[in-house]
Amino acid sequence: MLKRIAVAAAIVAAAAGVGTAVSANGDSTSRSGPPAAADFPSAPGNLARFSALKSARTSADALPDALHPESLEVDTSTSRKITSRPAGSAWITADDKLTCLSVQPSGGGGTASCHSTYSVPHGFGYTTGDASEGAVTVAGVVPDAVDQVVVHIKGAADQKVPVSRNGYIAEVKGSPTSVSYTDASGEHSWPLAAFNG
Amino acid sequence: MASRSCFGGLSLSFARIGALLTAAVMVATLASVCASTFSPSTAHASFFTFCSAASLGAYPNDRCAHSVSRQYAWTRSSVAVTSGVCAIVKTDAGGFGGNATAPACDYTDQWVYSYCGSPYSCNGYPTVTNNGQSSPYQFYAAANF
Repeated sequence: MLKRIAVAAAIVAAAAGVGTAVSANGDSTSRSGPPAAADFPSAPGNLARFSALKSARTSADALPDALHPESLEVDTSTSRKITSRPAGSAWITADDKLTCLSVQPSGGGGTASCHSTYSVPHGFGYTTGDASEGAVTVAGVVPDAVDQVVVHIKGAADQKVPVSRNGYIAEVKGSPTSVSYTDASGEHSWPLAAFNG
Repeated sequence: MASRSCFGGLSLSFARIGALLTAAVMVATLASVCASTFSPSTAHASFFTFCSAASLGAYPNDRCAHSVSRQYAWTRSSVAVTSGVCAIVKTDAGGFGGNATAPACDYTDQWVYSYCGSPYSCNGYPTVTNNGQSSPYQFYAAANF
């Protein structure tokens, strides 16, 4: 109970706080309002669920410059490349407080999304791309022992996607609505939003 | 300190050339272009659209801001996993850039990032979407130069 109270208090305090980030060109940019990663409670136990983070780090694991590691508020020395397929490549970067997934789609550009580490014991996924162009890329991270996820698509059949090194990436035609998998603890599902420009 | 005005990226060039009269004319012209190109009223009807969020919180001008030389953009919601959040830097069909960009959408209480294929070459703006619905929540968006 005390731990829950402490976590809630930390979140409330963070929500009222002000964060500061330094941009690539050295500008200082104030980020007020939303919770800052530094204010989240540590959750090293959740990181232990992703063994890719404990693997020997090679040069391929470093985030490419095009994915702007300097923009992330996480310890980027932890990055690991978790999957590389025709749809693109993905890297997980995580510390006790923040977990980020950076994606380099084969179509160009790059994206990243971050979550508080304590909030993602079962991983997360997100989309990149424009559904109005016919397809989007779905990428995500999942804990150890998950070898497949299922992407649910609005008005279309589910699409099974293989997992490697805690990661998955696939091109999906249409608008995906969620991604799910089942492990020993049951079924886990993550909602997906898709841009449709 | 990065500018937060719609034409902040251009103001430095204006200072260099010192052509104040020309600058005023250009600003007036660009104001018209920006308003017509990036206003919510011209967004496509879709599942998620540009500028559909009720508010961009601390940086309201970012709904129509930084229309040139964007390196990357980031957005986030102030509430966890209750609203889909998209970040995008999108090449303007009218000109500049031309490098591939990738919008990103997620349900998160943290930042979502969209990077240009080549730094400083993209147009567009960071935007936050909430499935086209008005929201009581605050959203935050910023761009980097």
